[in-house]
Amino acid sequence: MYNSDERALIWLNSFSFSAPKKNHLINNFMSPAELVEDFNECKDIICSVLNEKNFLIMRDVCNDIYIDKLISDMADKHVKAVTMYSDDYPTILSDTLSEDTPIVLYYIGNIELFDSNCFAIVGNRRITRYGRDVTEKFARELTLHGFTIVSGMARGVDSVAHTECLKHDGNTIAVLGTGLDIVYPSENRELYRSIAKSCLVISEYPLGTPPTSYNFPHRNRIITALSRGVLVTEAGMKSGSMISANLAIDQGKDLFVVPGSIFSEQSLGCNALIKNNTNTFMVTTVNDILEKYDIRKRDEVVNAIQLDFIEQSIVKELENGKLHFEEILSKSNLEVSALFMTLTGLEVSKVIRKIPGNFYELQPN
Amino acid sequence: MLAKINSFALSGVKGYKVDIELDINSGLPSYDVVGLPDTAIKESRERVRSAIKNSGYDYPTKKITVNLAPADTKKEGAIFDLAIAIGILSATEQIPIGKYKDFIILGELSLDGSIRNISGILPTIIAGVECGYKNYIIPNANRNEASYIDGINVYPASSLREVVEFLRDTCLIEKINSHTYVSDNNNRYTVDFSEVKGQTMAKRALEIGAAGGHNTIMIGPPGSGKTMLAKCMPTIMPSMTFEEAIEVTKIHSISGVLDPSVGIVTSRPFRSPHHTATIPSLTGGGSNCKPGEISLAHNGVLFLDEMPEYSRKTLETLRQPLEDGIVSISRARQTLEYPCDFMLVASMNPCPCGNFGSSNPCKCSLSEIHKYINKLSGPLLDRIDLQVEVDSITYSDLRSEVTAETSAEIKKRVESARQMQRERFAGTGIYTNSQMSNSMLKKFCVIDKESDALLEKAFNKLSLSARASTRILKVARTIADLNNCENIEIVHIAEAIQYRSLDRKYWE
Repeated sequence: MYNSDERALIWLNSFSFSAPKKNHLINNFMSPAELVEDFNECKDIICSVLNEKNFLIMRDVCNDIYIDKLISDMADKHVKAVTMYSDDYPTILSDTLSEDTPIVLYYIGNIELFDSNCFAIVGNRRITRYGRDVTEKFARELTLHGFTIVSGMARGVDSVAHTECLKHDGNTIAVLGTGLDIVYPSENRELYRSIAKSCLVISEYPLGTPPTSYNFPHRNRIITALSRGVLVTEAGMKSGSMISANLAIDQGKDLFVVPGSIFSEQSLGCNALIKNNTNTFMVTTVNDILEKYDIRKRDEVVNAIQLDFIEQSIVKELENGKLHFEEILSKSNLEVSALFMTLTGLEVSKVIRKIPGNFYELQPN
Repeated sequence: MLAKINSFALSGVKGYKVDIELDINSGLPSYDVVGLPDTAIKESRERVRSAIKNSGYDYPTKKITVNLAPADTKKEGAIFDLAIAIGILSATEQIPIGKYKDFIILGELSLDGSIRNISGILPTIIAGVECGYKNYIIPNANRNEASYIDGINVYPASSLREVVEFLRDTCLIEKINSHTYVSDNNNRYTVDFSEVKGQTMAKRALEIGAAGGHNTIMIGPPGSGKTMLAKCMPTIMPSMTFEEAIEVTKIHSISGVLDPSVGIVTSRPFRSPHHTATIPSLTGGGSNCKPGEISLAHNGVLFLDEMPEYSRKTLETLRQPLEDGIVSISRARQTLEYPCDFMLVASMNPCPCGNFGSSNPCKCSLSEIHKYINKLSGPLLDRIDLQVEVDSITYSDLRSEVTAETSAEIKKRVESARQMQRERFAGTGIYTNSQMSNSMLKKFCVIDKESDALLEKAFNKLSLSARASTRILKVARTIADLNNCENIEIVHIAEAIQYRSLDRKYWE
């Protein structure tokens, strides 16, 4: 199933040194297969890249039995691998990342998605309501315009982007910072399952790799490299998505940023990107992205809802921002029960929505 | 000589007759109590001896055997002291045989011969009445409690001497005049709904809760007045009927929390156990199976402040009592049932820091909030019909010039809604909308097509959980009752939908 080069790369990738070192090692040989074959004889070359201790560890398991075990473990978990020597390896990765290219990508799902119109959405793990709304809006509209949403399946923006995309039957790629057999964070188990089922989950880390703080920023380079453009929907100053944003610029990708409130700590990063970088595009509607790629905006299906006079007046009041139940009550001069009726009606028509604290606001769209 | 005195003991809230048989024989002076007495009863020997001597009577220097029949039931407490003393005096012929046989005698003795008050007088006398006994001698301190039972003769005594003279017909004890039960007219409460400004939604929810007996949870930031609102709850609950008052008094009487100067519980109980409460303290238990907080809250309100702070296990034990209105406590020695038909009012913060959704910034991560909310299990939330948010105080200030309704006005509406429910459920064994079964739901909660469409839309669009549907219908039924409507209308459904805060996914 895997040829000798691929087997050699899978073997090499099962060790946990960095991708540049692995690439460097391979470049010293004619082919990865040769590395495995001549492993014992080439101690000097290998020790020059790694060290003797690693050499000894690797020598002990440099055999077919070990490699077969690795591959059968993968098969047990329905995980496949695509290596840089495979035909279906996404060339965009090796082109963009060169030395830092992951030599193996483990995956579950539809590998053809690499060739689709990939677009990354990244942002905070700690997400505010605003961030959620922004992410949902852009993820939905980009999905509807045929983009494949790439993200990292972390908490917050990542999860929202994946979920929203799946909700509209779109394609999405999750790039994990753990082995494919470990779901982190665990509350995303269901999301993981549905992405693996209908779309694609990938990781450069071998099975069993636990979540560690340095793997996550590192996998961000894959997210950005796979995509045409990167959208940051909400990011704090210390957010991992700031790393992604800088990577995107370094990789020559288009960086789109949604501005946020200047008072919100969770938006400081986004605003800083807009302020400090000349090559970021500030976006406020999905059109800003579509125009960049010459995609025609699809016709909105406007389902106009007929509002009566009272409803209109309440909607008008809410146009200036959220209002508390008591405020609406005093402004509308309605009976409490009548107001309940109106609010529930508007709510189920998705014109307004209730938010915690007995507040109501217009449904963002 | 042998004497036999009638007395009563309690098992849970039910009483049973105890015959106190006393035999005095010649032999070495001794005093033995048989019939599974506890330590308090065994110690009666010292109290009885001193009381008899100090009252000026003779204590026999003979072998005294006391039998508490039925002999196979464990008996507790010092309630038989007086009866035993009378028995000894009768067996030594210091009291004429005959008269005491008509009496049920209850009371604890002091060393000086005075009679101390005992707990559980009301349920004991009720049990006695059921067995056909008409005459009672009880401690004077318990007179008020006994005065609410009609058609019996209760003689309150304050000392052993008084009882002996009474039984010798040399002195008269005036029997208690029976009181008529008057339900509390709210003057006792120190709080009133008119003092709560704003909070329209929360107040309405509590009104609906009181009217339909719906369990309610209030969610709000710290200092928003959740506790204040809950404390106002009894002021709008419908007045207790005599039967209800007796039920409550029985439980309070055996727990010893009854106010002896009143003698009966006239206002609905409001119990607020601290969140460190253990399972036995809440459900009842201990080696002697005492009633717990949920039984003390029978016919009233059980308020759980900061509900997620209670241990999960403790909260889960509430599930079955909430459903059945009865808690059954099984211990090695006995199994007892206590009624616990209470309305649960709970409060909680929206997140660990308490500020989620308020004007103050919330410092909690989403997973922390999720964890906090999830401390309340699904099945438990299932039993809470009304979930309402309480506003942070700034918004109440907005409308502080508006005079709010007083509790009395709200109570009037609640009473009339309860009346409608009583008529509706006549003969079915339930009293409130919250107790409706599924079949009753189909019968009494018919909604028109328009309302049905709204409900269906609400489910799809507002991501309400499936369990919300019956809750919404029940609450809508109560809202209709409050508005004096025969049928549930769409406005009632619309309002009920707004009381499902925790069901909404927006909380994540």
